[in-house]
Amino acid sequence: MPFESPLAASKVSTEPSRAAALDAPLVLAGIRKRFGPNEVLKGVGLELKRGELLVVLGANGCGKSTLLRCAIRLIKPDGGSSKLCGEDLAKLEGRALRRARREAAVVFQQVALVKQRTAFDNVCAGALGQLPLFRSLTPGSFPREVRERAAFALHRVRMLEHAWQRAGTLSGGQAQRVAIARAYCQQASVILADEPVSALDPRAAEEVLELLRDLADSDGLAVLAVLHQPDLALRHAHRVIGMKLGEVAFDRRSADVSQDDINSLYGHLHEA
Amino acid sequence: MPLELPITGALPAGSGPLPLIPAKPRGGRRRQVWALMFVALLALLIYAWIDVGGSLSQFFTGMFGSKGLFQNIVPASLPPAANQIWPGVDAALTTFAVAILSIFFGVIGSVAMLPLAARNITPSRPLYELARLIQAILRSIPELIMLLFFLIVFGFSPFAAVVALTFHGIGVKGKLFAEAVEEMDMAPVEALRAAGASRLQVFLHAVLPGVRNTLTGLTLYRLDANFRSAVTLGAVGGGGIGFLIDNELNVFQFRPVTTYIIILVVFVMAIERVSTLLRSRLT
Repeated sequence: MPFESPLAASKVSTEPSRAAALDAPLVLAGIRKRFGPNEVLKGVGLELKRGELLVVLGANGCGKSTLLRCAIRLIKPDGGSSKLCGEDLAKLEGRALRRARREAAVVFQQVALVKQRTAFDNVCAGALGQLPLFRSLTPGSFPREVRERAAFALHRVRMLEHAWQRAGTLSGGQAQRVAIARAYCQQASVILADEPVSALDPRAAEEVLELLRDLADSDGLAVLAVLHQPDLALRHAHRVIGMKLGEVAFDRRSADVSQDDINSLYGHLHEA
Repeated sequence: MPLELPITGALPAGSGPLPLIPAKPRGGRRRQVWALMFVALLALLIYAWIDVGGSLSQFFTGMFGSKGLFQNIVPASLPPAANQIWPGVDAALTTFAVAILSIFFGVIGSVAMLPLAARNITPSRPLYELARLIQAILRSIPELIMLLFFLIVFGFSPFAAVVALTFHGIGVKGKLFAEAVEEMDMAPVEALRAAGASRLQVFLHAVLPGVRNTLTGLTLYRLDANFRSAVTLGAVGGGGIGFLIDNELNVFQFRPVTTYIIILVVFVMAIERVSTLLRSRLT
Protein backbone atom coordinates (compact mmCIF):
# COMPACT_ATOMS: atom_id res chain seq x y z
CA MET A 1 0.00 0.00 0.00
CA PRO A 2 1.76 3.16 -1.18
CA PHE A 3 1.11 6.14 1.00
CA GLU A 4 0.64 9.75 0.13
CA SER A 5 3.73 11.82 -0.59
CA PRO A 6 4.94 13.99 2.26
CA LEU A 7 4.81 16.99 -0.10
CA ALA A 8 1.07 16.61 -0.41
CA ALA A 9 0.93 16.35 3.35
CA SER A 10 2.78 19.60 3.80
CA LYS A 11 -0.25 21.37 2.37
CA VAL A 12 -2.17 20.24 5.43
CA SER A 13 -1.97 23.31 7.54
CA THR A 14 -1.37 22.85 11.22
CA GLU A 15 -4.59 24.43 12.44
CA PRO A 16 -3.83 27.42 14.61
CA SER A 17 -5.18 26.22 17.95
CA ARG A 18 -6.34 28.54 20.67
CA ALA A 19 -2.86 27.94 22.04
CA ALA A 20 -1.26 29.77 19.16
CA ALA A 21 -2.50 33.05 20.50
CA LEU A 22 -0.82 32.46 23.81
CA ASP A 23 2.77 33.37 24.26
CA ALA A 24 3.40 30.86 27.04
CA PRO A 25 1.40 27.67 26.46
CA LEU A 26 2.53 26.07 29.71
CA VAL A 27 2.65 27.98 32.98
CA LEU A 28 3.28 26.16 36.25
CA ALA A 29 2.93 27.90 39.58
CA GLY A 30 3.60 26.66 43.09
CA ILE A 31 3.43 22.95 42.24
CA ARG A 32 3.74 20.86 45.39
CA LYS A 33 3.84 17.09 45.67
CA ARG A 34 4.56 14.78 48.56
CA PHE A 35 5.05 11.00 48.44
CA GLY A 36 4.60 9.78 51.99
CA PRO A 37 7.18 11.57 54.14
CA ASN A 38 9.10 12.87 51.10
CA GLU A 39 8.27 16.33 49.89
CA VAL A 40 9.39 15.93 46.29
CA LEU A 41 8.22 19.29 44.95
CA LYS A 42 8.17 22.32 47.23
CA GLY A 43 6.32 24.86 45.17
CA VAL A 44 7.84 24.88 41.69
CA GLY A 45 6.89 27.40 39.03
CA LEU A 46 8.01 27.89 35.47
CA GLU A 47 6.90 29.42 32.19
CA LEU A 48 7.40 27.64 28.90
CA LYS A 49 7.25 29.91 25.84
CA ARG A 50 6.38 29.23 22.23
CA GLY A 51 9.37 28.39 20.07
CA GLU A 52 11.49 27.59 23.08
CA LEU A 53 13.44 24.49 24.08
CA LEU A 54 13.61 24.54 27.86
CA VAL A 55 15.70 21.91 29.62
CA VAL A 56 15.29 20.95 33.27
CA LEU A 57 18.47 19.64 34.89
CA GLY A 58 18.96 18.13 38.31
CA ALA A 59 20.27 15.15 40.22
CA ASN A 60 18.28 11.94 40.57
CA GLY A 61 15.41 12.42 42.97
CA CYS A 62 15.30 16.21 42.71
CA GLY A 63 11.75 16.00 41.34
CA LYS A 64 12.26 16.72 37.62
CA SER A 65 10.24 13.78 36.34
CA THR A 66 7.56 14.26 38.96
CA LEU A 67 7.28 17.89 37.91
CA LEU A 68 6.76 16.87 34.30
CA ARG A 69 4.10 14.36 35.28
CA CYS A 70 2.36 16.85 37.54
CA ALA A 71 2.41 19.42 34.74
CA ILE A 72 -0.11 17.40 32.72
CA ARG A 73 -1.60 15.62 35.72
CA LEU A 74 -0.41 12.13 34.95
CA ILE A 75 0.21 12.54 38.68
CA LYS A 76 -2.14 14.71 40.70
CA PRO A 77 -0.17 17.44 42.47
CA ASP A 78 -1.01 18.34 46.08
CA GLY A 79 -1.12 22.01 45.27
CA GLY A 80 -0.35 24.72 42.73
CA SER A 81 -1.68 25.32 39.26
CA SER A 82 -0.73 24.09 35.83
CA LYS A 83 -2.09 26.23 33.02
CA LEU A 84 -1.88 24.46 29.67
CA CYS A 85 -2.94 26.83 26.89
CA GLY A 86 -4.82 28.91 29.40
CA GLU A 87 -6.74 26.03 31.03
CA ASP A 88 -5.93 25.16 34.61
CA LEU A 89 -5.61 21.37 34.58
CA ALA A 90 -5.89 21.22 38.37
CA LYS A 91 -9.55 22.24 38.06
CA LEU A 92 -10.49 19.66 35.38
CA GLU A 93 -11.57 16.04 35.64
CA GLY A 94 -12.37 13.12 33.34
CA ARG A 95 -13.29 13.98 29.78
CA ALA A 96 -12.56 17.68 30.09
CA LEU A 97 -9.10 16.89 31.46
CA ARG A 98 -8.42 14.50 28.61
CA ARG A 99 -9.47 17.10 26.08
CA ALA A 100 -7.32 19.81 27.64
CA ARG A 101 -4.35 17.46 27.93
CA ARG A 102 -4.25 16.92 24.17
CA GLU A 103 -2.43 20.25 23.91
CA ALA A 104 0.60 18.53 25.44
CA ALA A 105 2.36 15.56 23.87
CA VAL A 106 4.72 13.40 25.91
CA VAL A 107 7.91 11.64 24.84
CA PHE A 108 8.93 9.04 27.41
CA GLN A 109 12.26 7.82 28.71
CA GLN A 110 11.85 4.22 27.68
CA VAL A 111 10.58 4.08 24.15
CA ALA A 112 6.85 3.66 24.50
CA LEU A 113 5.95 2.41 21.03
CA VAL A 114 3.71 -0.57 20.31
CA LYS A 115 6.41 -2.96 19.11
CA GLN A 116 4.13 -5.19 17.05
CA ARG A 117 2.87 -2.32 14.90
CA THR A 118 4.62 -0.39 12.16
CA ALA A 119 6.30 2.96 12.76
CA PHE A 120 3.56 4.54 10.66
CA ASP A 121 0.70 3.07 12.70
CA ASN A 122 2.44 4.18 15.90
CA VAL A 123 2.67 7.74 14.61
CA CYS A 124 -1.00 7.74 13.56
CA ALA A 125 -1.89 6.69 17.12
CA GLY A 126 -0.75 10.13 18.27
CA ALA A 127 -3.96 11.50 16.77
CA LEU A 128 -6.24 9.05 18.65
CA GLY A 129 -7.34 11.72 21.09
CA GLN A 130 -8.90 13.72 18.26
CA LEU A 131 -10.65 10.82 16.57
CA PRO A 132 -14.10 9.44 17.27
CA LEU A 133 -14.10 5.76 18.16
CA PHE A 134 -15.53 4.55 14.86
CA ARG A 135 -12.67 6.16 12.91
CA SER A 136 -10.11 4.53 15.13
CA LEU A 137 -11.17 0.90 15.44
CA THR A 138 -8.11 -0.33 13.51
CA PRO A 139 -5.12 1.45 11.94
CA GLY A 140 -6.86 0.88 8.59
CA SER A 141 -9.76 3.12 9.57
CA PHE A 142 -7.68 6.21 10.36
CA PRO A 143 -8.87 9.12 8.19
CA ARG A 144 -6.75 10.19 5.24
CA GLU A 145 -5.93 13.49 6.88
CA VAL A 146 -4.34 11.72 9.86
CA ARG A 147 -2.38 9.41 7.58
CA GLU A 148 -1.02 12.37 5.65
CA ARG A 149 -0.11 14.12 8.85
CA ALA A 150 1.67 10.98 10.10
CA ALA A 151 3.63 10.68 6.86
CA PHE A 152 4.69 14.29 7.20
CA ALA A 153 5.68 13.77 10.83
CA LEU A 154 7.85 10.80 9.86
CA HIS A 155 9.40 12.89 7.10
CA ARG A 156 10.03 15.61 9.67
CA VAL A 157 12.06 13.23 11.89
CA ARG A 158 13.77 11.69 8.82
CA MET A 159 12.23 8.28 9.40
CA LEU A 160 9.94 8.13 6.37
CA GLU A 161 11.88 5.31 4.71
CA HIS A 162 11.29 3.17 7.82
CA ALA A 163 7.54 3.86 7.86
CA TRP A 164 6.50 0.24 7.31
CA GLN A 165 9.06 -1.29 9.63
CA ARG A 166 7.68 -2.79 12.83
CA ALA A 167 8.56 -0.59 15.80
CA GLY A 168 10.15 -3.53 17.61
CA THR A 169 12.83 -3.76 14.93
CA LEU A 170 13.98 -0.12 15.12
CA SER A 171 17.15 0.95 16.89
CA GLY A 172 16.84 3.00 20.07
CA GLY A 173 17.54 6.30 18.34
CA GLN A 174 15.19 5.55 15.45
CA ALA A 175 12.45 4.48 17.84
CA GLN A 176 12.78 7.65 19.90
CA ARG A 177 12.51 9.73 16.71
CA VAL A 178 9.34 7.83 15.81
CA ALA A 179 8.03 8.58 19.31
CA ILE A 180 8.72 12.27 18.63
CA ALA A 181 6.89 11.96 15.33
CA ARG A 182 3.92 10.53 17.22
CA ALA A 183 4.02 13.53 19.56
CA TYR A 184 4.21 15.81 16.49
CA CYS A 185 1.24 14.03 14.92
CA GLN A 186 -0.78 14.82 18.02
CA GLN A 187 -0.61 18.50 16.92
CA ALA A 188 -0.05 19.65 20.46
CA SER A 189 1.38 23.09 21.24
CA VAL A 190 3.61 21.67 23.96
CA ILE A 191 5.98 18.72 23.83
CA LEU A 192 7.19 17.30 27.13
CA ALA A 193 10.14 14.93 27.01
CA ASP A 194 11.06 12.88 30.08
CA GLU A 195 14.76 11.95 29.84
CA PRO A 196 14.31 11.23 26.13
CA VAL A 197 17.96 10.32 25.50
CA SER A 198 18.99 8.41 28.61
CA ALA A 199 18.80 5.07 26.77
CA LEU A 200 20.60 6.31 23.65
CA ASP A 201 24.21 6.42 22.49
CA PRO A 202 25.82 9.89 22.30
CA ARG A 203 25.24 10.34 18.59
CA ALA A 204 21.57 9.33 18.71
CA ALA A 205 21.16 11.57 21.75
CA GLU A 206 22.62 14.48 19.79
CA GLU A 207 20.21 13.85 16.90
CA VAL A 208 17.18 13.70 19.19
CA LEU A 209 18.07 17.02 20.83
CA GLU A 210 18.73 18.66 17.47
CA LEU A 211 15.30 17.49 16.45
CA LEU A 212 13.62 18.86 19.59
CA ARG A 213 15.41 22.18 19.09
CA ASP A 214 14.29 22.26 15.49
CA LEU A 215 10.66 21.63 16.47
CA ALA A 216 10.91 24.69 18.69
CA ASP A 217 12.71 26.86 16.13
CA SER A 218 10.86 25.92 12.95
CA ASP A 219 7.42 24.87 14.18
CA GLY A 220 7.16 27.26 17.09
CA LEU A 221 6.38 24.40 19.50
CA ALA A 222 7.06 24.84 23.19
CA VAL A 223 9.39 22.00 24.18
CA LEU A 224 10.24 21.04 27.75
CA ALA A 225 12.85 18.32 28.21
CA VAL A 226 14.10 16.74 31.40
CA LEU A 227 17.74 15.75 30.93
CA HIS A 228 20.64 14.19 32.78
CA GLN A 229 23.36 15.53 30.49
CA PRO A 230 24.37 19.16 31.28
CA ASP A 231 26.58 19.38 28.18
CA LEU A 232 23.73 18.41 25.85
CA ALA A 233 21.46 20.87 27.63
CA LEU A 234 23.87 23.78 27.32
CA ARG A 235 24.52 23.06 23.66
CA HIS A 236 20.91 22.75 22.49
CA ALA A 237 18.54 24.48 24.89
CA HIS A 238 17.42 28.08 24.72
CA ARG A 239 16.99 28.13 28.45
CA VAL A 240 17.97 25.88 31.35
CA ILE A 241 16.28 25.41 34.70
CA GLY A 242 18.26 23.76 37.48
CA MET A 243 16.33 21.89 40.15
CA LYS A 244 17.63 20.92 43.54
CA LEU A 245 15.74 19.17 46.35
CA GLY A 246 12.33 19.97 44.92
CA GLU A 247 12.98 23.64 44.21
CA VAL A 248 14.17 25.74 41.30
CA ALA A 249 17.85 26.53 41.89
CA PHE A 250 18.36 28.68 38.80
CA ASP A 251 16.54 29.64 35.62
CA ARG A 252 18.80 31.18 32.93
CA ARG A 253 19.44 31.41 29.22
CA SER A 254 21.78 28.52 28.44
CA ALA A 255 24.57 30.92 27.42
CA ASP A 256 24.51 32.40 30.94
CA VAL A 257 24.72 29.12 32.83
CA SER A 258 28.08 28.77 34.56
CA GLN A 259 29.96 25.66 35.58
CA ASP A 260 29.30 26.64 39.22
CA ASP A 261 25.57 26.50 38.52
CA ILE A 262 25.94 22.97 37.20
CA ASN A 263 28.15 21.89 40.08
CA SER A 264 25.68 23.27 42.59
CA LEU A 265 23.04 20.84 41.29
CA TYR A 266 25.05 17.68 41.64
CA GLY A 267 27.42 18.83 44.36
CA HIS A 268 25.35 18.01 47.41
CA LEU A 269 25.60 14.31 46.61
CA HIS A 270 29.34 14.46 47.22
CA GLU A 271 29.08 16.64 50.29
CA ALA A 272 26.85 14.09 51.98
CA MET B 1 32.94 -30.04 65.33
CA PRO B 2 35.40 -29.58 62.41
CA LEU B 3 36.13 -32.54 60.16
CA GLU B 4 39.56 -33.33 58.82
CA LEU B 5 39.94 -34.06 55.12
CA PRO B 6 41.51 -37.43 54.41
CA ILE B 7 44.74 -36.81 52.52
CA THR B 8 45.22 -39.16 49.59
CA GLY B 9 47.77 -37.30 47.46
CA ALA B 10 50.73 -35.05 48.03
CA LEU B 11 49.91 -31.45 48.84
CA PRO B 12 51.40 -28.87 46.46
CA ALA B 13 54.59 -27.39 47.81
CA GLY B 14 54.15 -24.30 49.92
CA SER B 15 50.54 -24.88 50.78
CA GLY B 16 50.06 -24.36 54.47
CA PRO B 17 48.15 -26.50 56.89
CA LEU B 18 45.15 -28.32 55.49
CA PRO B 19 41.97 -26.24 55.64
CA LEU B 20 39.21 -27.69 57.75
CA ILE B 21 35.66 -28.03 56.50
CA PRO B 22 33.25 -26.58 59.02
CA ALA B 23 30.83 -29.12 60.45
CA LYS B 24 27.59 -29.48 58.52
CA PRO B 25 24.88 -27.71 60.43
CA ARG B 26 22.19 -30.10 61.59
CA GLY B 27 18.82 -29.08 60.21
CA GLY B 28 16.86 -29.76 63.36
CA ARG B 29 13.55 -28.02 62.83
CA ARG B 30 13.43 -28.34 59.05
CA ARG B 31 13.96 -32.07 59.27
CA GLN B 32 11.06 -32.37 61.72
CA VAL B 33 8.83 -30.40 59.39
CA TRP B 34 9.73 -32.69 56.49
CA ALA B 35 9.11 -35.80 58.59
CA LEU B 36 5.75 -34.48 59.67
CA MET B 37 4.76 -33.68 56.08
CA PHE B 38 5.83 -37.15 54.98
CA VAL B 39 3.70 -38.86 57.63
CA ALA B 40 0.73 -36.63 56.79
CA LEU B 41 1.06 -37.42 53.07
CA LEU B 42 1.25 -41.15 53.81
CA ALA B 43 -1.88 -40.97 55.95
CA LEU B 44 -3.66 -39.06 53.21
CA LEU B 45 -2.70 -41.65 50.58
CA ILE B 46 -3.91 -44.54 52.76
CA TYR B 47 -7.20 -42.78 53.43
CA ALA B 48 -7.65 -42.11 49.69
CA TRP B 49 -6.86 -45.71 48.77
CA ILE B 50 -9.47 -47.04 51.20
CA ASP B 51 -11.97 -44.38 50.15
CA VAL B 52 -11.87 -45.35 46.46
CA GLY B 53 -12.02 -49.05 47.33
CA GLY B 54 -8.58 -49.75 45.97
CA SER B 55 -7.64 -53.40 45.67
CA LEU B 56 -4.51 -54.83 44.08
CA SER B 57 -6.04 -58.24 43.44
CA GLN B 58 -8.98 -56.59 41.70
CA PHE B 59 -6.57 -54.61 39.55
CA PHE B 60 -4.75 -57.73 38.39
CA THR B 61 -7.88 -59.80 37.68
CA GLY B 62 -9.36 -56.81 35.87
CA MET B 63 -6.31 -56.38 33.70
CA PHE B 64 -5.00 -59.92 33.18
CA GLY B 65 -7.72 -62.37 34.42
CA SER B 66 -9.74 -64.61 32.09
CA LYS B 67 -12.51 -62.02 31.85
CA GLY B 68 -10.07 -59.09 32.05
CA LEU B 69 -8.95 -56.45 29.59
CA PHE B 70 -6.18 -58.33 27.83
CA GLN B 71 -7.73 -61.84 27.65
CA ASN B 72 -11.28 -60.82 26.96
CA ILE B 73 -11.74 -57.31 25.54
CA VAL B 74 -8.60 -56.85 23.47
CA PRO B 75 -9.19 -59.99 21.36
CA ALA B 76 -12.82 -58.98 20.85
CA SER B 77 -11.67 -55.56 19.61
CA LEU B 78 -9.48 -56.85 16.81
CA PRO B 79 -9.28 -56.34 13.94
CA PRO B 80 -10.71 -52.80 13.79
CA ALA B 81 -13.97 -52.59 11.86
CA ALA B 82 -13.06 -51.20 8.41
CA ASN B 83 -16.64 -50.28 7.52
CA GLN B 84 -16.70 -47.79 10.41
CA ILE B 85 -13.86 -45.61 9.09
CA TRP B 86 -16.02 -43.05 7.25
CA PRO B 87 -18.75 -42.82 9.87
CA GLY B 88 -15.94 -42.40 12.41
CA VAL B 89 -14.18 -39.65 10.46
CA ASP B 90 -17.48 -37.92 9.88
CA ALA B 91 -18.24 -37.96 13.61
CA ALA B 92 -14.71 -36.82 14.48
CA LEU B 93 -15.24 -33.84 12.14
CA THR B 94 -18.40 -33.00 14.07
CA THR B 95 -16.37 -33.13 17.28
CA PHE B 96 -13.76 -30.87 15.68
CA ALA B 97 -16.54 -28.48 14.67
CA VAL B 98 -17.67 -28.35 18.30
CA ALA B 99 -14.10 -27.62 19.42
CA ILE B 100 -13.43 -24.90 16.86
CA LEU B 101 -16.77 -23.12 17.39
CA SER B 102 -16.42 -23.16 21.17
CA ILE B 103 -12.87 -21.83 20.90
CA PHE B 104 -14.06 -19.04 18.59
CA PHE B 105 -16.92 -17.90 20.81
CA GLY B 106 -14.76 -18.42 23.89
CA VAL B 107 -12.07 -16.11 22.51
CA ILE B 108 -14.67 -13.44 21.72
CA GLY B 109 -16.09 -13.69 25.23
CA SER B 110 -12.67 -13.66 26.87
CA VAL B 111 -11.40 -10.67 24.88
CA ALA B 112 -14.63 -8.82 25.59
CA MET B 113 -14.03 -9.30 29.32
CA LEU B 114 -10.37 -8.27 29.10
CA PRO B 115 -10.78 -4.50 29.65
CA LEU B 116 -12.35 -5.30 33.02
CA ALA B 117 -10.53 -8.49 33.97
CA ALA B 118 -6.92 -7.29 33.78
CA ARG B 119 -5.84 -5.47 36.92
CA ASN B 120 -3.56 -3.00 35.14
CA ILE B 121 -6.20 -1.63 32.74
CA THR B 122 -9.47 -2.10 34.60
CA PRO B 123 -11.45 1.09 35.22
CA SER B 124 -12.39 0.06 38.75
CA ARG B 125 -11.37 -2.51 41.32
CA PRO B 126 -14.90 -3.84 42.02
CA LEU B 127 -15.50 -4.45 38.28
CA TYR B 128 -12.20 -6.29 38.11
CA GLU B 129 -13.14 -8.47 41.07
CA LEU B 130 -16.55 -9.14 39.54
CA ALA B 131 -15.08 -10.17 36.17
CA ARG B 132 -12.56 -12.46 37.84
CA LEU B 133 -15.29 -13.97 40.03
CA ILE B 134 -17.46 -14.75 37.00
CA GLN B 135 -14.46 -16.39 35.33
CA ALA B 136 -13.66 -18.40 38.45
CA ILE B 137 -17.24 -19.68 38.64
CA LEU B 138 -17.33 -20.61 34.93
CA ARG B 139 -13.97 -22.34 35.34
CA SER B 140 -14.88 -24.33 38.40
CA ILE B 141 -18.06 -25.87 36.99
CA PRO B 142 -16.74 -28.75 34.86
CA GLU B 143 -17.85 -28.64 31.22
CA LEU B 144 -19.49 -32.05 31.73
CA ILE B 145 -21.79 -30.71 34.43
CA MET B 146 -22.58 -27.63 32.33
CA LEU B 147 -23.48 -29.89 29.43
CA LEU B 148 -25.99 -31.79 31.61
CA PHE B 149 -27.84 -28.50 32.10
CA PHE B 150 -27.66 -27.47 28.46
CA LEU B 151 -28.88 -30.91 27.33
CA ILE B 152 -32.08 -30.18 29.23
CA VAL B 153 -32.40 -26.80 27.52
CA PHE B 154 -31.20 -27.55 23.99
CA GLY B 155 -31.78 -31.32 23.79
CA PHE B 156 -29.18 -33.92 22.85
CA SER B 157 -27.03 -32.20 20.22
CA PRO B 158 -23.50 -31.05 19.45
CA PHE B 159 -24.82 -27.52 19.81
CA ALA B 160 -25.36 -28.06 23.54
CA ALA B 161 -21.71 -29.14 23.74
CA VAL B 162 -20.63 -25.94 21.94
CA VAL B 163 -22.49 -23.82 24.47
CA ALA B 164 -21.08 -25.73 27.46
CA LEU B 165 -17.51 -25.61 26.15
CA THR B 166 -17.81 -21.91 25.29
CA PHE B 167 -18.82 -20.95 28.82
CA HIS B 168 -16.22 -23.15 30.44
CA GLY B 169 -13.62 -21.82 27.97
CA ILE B 170 -14.42 -18.21 28.89
CA GLY B 171 -13.52 -19.13 32.45
CA VAL B 172 -10.22 -20.69 31.43
CA LYS B 173 -9.11 -18.44 28.56
CA GLY B 174 -10.45 -15.32 30.25
CA LYS B 175 -8.04 -15.89 33.13
CA LEU B 176 -5.09 -16.81 30.89
CA PHE B 177 -5.71 -13.76 28.67
CA ALA B 178 -6.06 -11.40 31.63
CA GLU B 179 -2.80 -12.66 33.10
CA ALA B 180 -1.07 -12.09 29.74
CA VAL B 181 -2.28 -8.47 29.78
CA GLU B 182 -1.15 -8.02 33.38
CA GLU B 183 2.37 -9.02 32.38
CA MET B 184 2.59 -6.80 29.30
CA ASP B 185 4.84 -3.77 28.80
CA MET B 186 2.78 -0.79 29.98
CA ALA B 187 4.90 1.95 28.39
CA PRO B 188 2.87 2.18 25.14
CA VAL B 189 -0.36 2.16 27.17
CA GLU B 190 0.81 5.14 29.22
CA ALA B 191 1.95 6.90 26.08
CA LEU B 192 -1.43 6.66 24.36
CA ARG B 193 -3.23 7.66 27.56
CA ALA B 194 -1.02 10.74 27.70
CA ALA B 195 -1.90 11.48 24.06
CA GLY B 196 -5.54 11.78 25.14
CA ALA B 197 -6.78 8.44 23.79
CA SER B 198 -9.91 7.03 25.40
CA ARG B 199 -9.92 3.77 27.33
CA LEU B 200 -11.28 1.80 24.41
CA GLN B 201 -8.81 3.40 21.99
CA VAL B 202 -5.92 2.54 24.30
CA PHE B 203 -7.23 -1.03 24.48
CA LEU B 204 -7.49 -1.34 20.70
CA HIS B 205 -4.20 0.34 19.82
CA ALA B 206 -1.81 -0.52 22.64
CA VAL B 207 -3.15 -3.43 24.71
CA LEU B 208 -4.48 -5.76 21.99
CA PRO B 209 -1.54 -5.42 19.58
CA GLY B 210 0.80 -5.87 22.53
CA VAL B 211 -0.67 -9.22 23.60
CA ARG B 212 -1.94 -10.43 20.21
CA ASN B 213 0.77 -13.07 19.78
CA THR B 214 0.49 -14.33 23.34
CA LEU B 215 -3.29 -14.67 23.05
CA THR B 216 -3.05 -16.49 19.72
CA GLY B 217 -0.53 -18.90 21.23
CA LEU B 218 -2.76 -19.57 24.24
CA THR B 219 -5.76 -20.13 21.97
CA LEU B 220 -3.93 -22.66 19.79
CA TYR B 221 -2.70 -24.35 22.94
CA ARG B 222 -6.27 -24.65 24.19
CA LEU B 223 -7.51 -26.06 20.87
CA ASP B 224 -6.42 -29.64 21.46
CA ALA B 225 -7.61 -29.51 25.06
CA ASN B 226 -10.98 -28.37 23.71
CA PHE B 227 -11.05 -31.20 21.18
CA ARG B 228 -10.48 -33.80 23.88
CA SER B 229 -13.17 -32.21 26.06
CA ALA B 230 -15.53 -32.26 23.07
CA VAL B 231 -14.99 -36.03 22.74
CA THR B 232 -15.90 -36.55 26.38
CA LEU B 233 -18.96 -34.33 26.08
CA GLY B 234 -19.97 -36.34 23.00
CA ALA B 235 -20.20 -39.50 25.09
CA VAL B 236 -22.68 -37.80 27.43
CA GLY B 237 -24.96 -36.61 24.63
CA GLY B 238 -23.03 -33.96 22.80
CA GLY B 239 -22.77 -36.02 19.58
CA GLY B 240 -19.69 -36.59 17.49
CA ILE B 241 -17.24 -39.42 17.90
CA GLY B 242 -17.64 -39.62 21.67
CA PHE B 243 -21.30 -40.44 21.11
CA LEU B 244 -20.44 -43.27 18.66
CA ILE B 245 -17.93 -44.79 21.08
CA ASP B 246 -20.44 -44.71 23.91
CA ASN B 247 -23.14 -46.30 21.73
CA GLU B 248 -21.00 -49.22 20.59
CA LEU B 249 -19.65 -49.85 24.09
CA ASN B 250 -23.19 -50.06 25.43
CA VAL B 251 -23.87 -53.01 23.12
CA PHE B 252 -20.40 -54.53 23.63
CA GLN B 253 -19.36 -53.97 19.99
CA PHE B 254 -15.64 -53.51 20.51
CA ARG B 255 -14.34 -53.68 16.92
CA PRO B 256 -15.95 -50.41 15.76
CA VAL B 257 -14.71 -48.79 18.96
CA THR B 258 -11.13 -49.69 18.02
CA THR B 259 -11.61 -47.92 14.70
CA TYR B 260 -12.97 -44.83 16.43
CA ILE B 261 -10.13 -44.74 18.90
CA ILE B 262 -7.54 -44.94 16.13
CA ILE B 263 -9.29 -42.05 14.35
CA LEU B 264 -9.37 -40.14 17.62
CA VAL B 265 -5.66 -40.56 18.23
CA VAL B 266 -4.88 -39.46 14.68
CA PHE B 267 -7.06 -36.35 15.08
CA VAL B 268 -5.58 -35.36 18.43
CA MET B 269 -2.03 -35.84 17.20
CA ALA B 270 -2.72 -33.88 14.01
CA ILE B 271 -4.27 -30.99 15.95
CA GLU B 272 -1.32 -30.96 18.35
CA ARG B 273 1.15 -30.90 15.48
CA VAL B 274 -0.60 -28.11 13.60
CA SER B 275 -1.02 -26.02 16.74
CA THR B 276 2.65 -26.45 17.68
CA LEU B 277 3.69 -25.54 14.15
CA LEU B 278 1.52 -22.42 14.08
CA ARG B 279 2.70 -21.36 17.53
CA SER B 280 6.35 -21.65 16.52
CA ARG B 281 5.64 -19.30 13.60
CA LEU B 282 4.25 -16.65 15.94
CA THR B 283 7.18 -14.43 16.68
